[in-house]
Amino acid sequence: MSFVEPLDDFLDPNSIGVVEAIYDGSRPVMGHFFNDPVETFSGPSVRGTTPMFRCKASDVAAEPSGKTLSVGGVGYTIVYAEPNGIVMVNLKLRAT
Amino acid sequence: MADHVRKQVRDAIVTALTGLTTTQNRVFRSRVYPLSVADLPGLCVQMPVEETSPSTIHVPALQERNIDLAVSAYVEESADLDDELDAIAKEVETALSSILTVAGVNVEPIYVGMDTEFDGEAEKPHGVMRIRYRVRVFTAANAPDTLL
Repeated sequence: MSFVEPLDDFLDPNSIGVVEAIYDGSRPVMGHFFNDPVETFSGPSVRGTTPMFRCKASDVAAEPSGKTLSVGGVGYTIVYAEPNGIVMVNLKLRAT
Repeated sequence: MADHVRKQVRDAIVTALTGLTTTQNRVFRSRVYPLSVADLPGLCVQMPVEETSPSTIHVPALQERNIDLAVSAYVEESADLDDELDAIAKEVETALSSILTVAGVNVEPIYVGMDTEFDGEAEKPHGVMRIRYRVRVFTAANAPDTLL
């Protein structure tokens, strides 16, 4: 008997940390949004954040680079995608 | 008593760099804390190193001071980081190409080179260009506040 993980339960909009993003202009995608602070360079550095969206790989194109993603009304461009396990994907975002 | 000659020269450098077309009044010195997006494009002026040697054998000696000056240009990418940094470098190099007069003494920043660094971790790519100069000044050993 194979084990099937109910992935959508983790992306329920009522779950803590799950947000709805708009992918490629019109398509709603559920996922987790991360925007941790970062400092680049040294002496002195530049302060910024590192926006990243984690969602089901099947919700986005196999190569989503260049597509748009809107999270909370803030627009981003997907820089690249990297697998997170087998079924999830991390989208590295760039502010537009 | 006047300020140390390094401060006098640094003040003159900051004055010469303030109001440039791209970086405007975003010219920082002794910056410790990170720059924010609101500070970009901006310049940081630092004098991290000075090498000094006596030019005379009598006391107090005449000191030749070779001061390393770093003008770091920071940008957030809007089109092309290389182009944006080179545009600032043009303005900085032009502004510092003239001989500065500090306390009545001519001081000439000598351009010695630059290096660049890019980073794509943040929400928009950032770039920094460190534009390096060497400034040679003379003082008496017992009067580091007086340019000779």
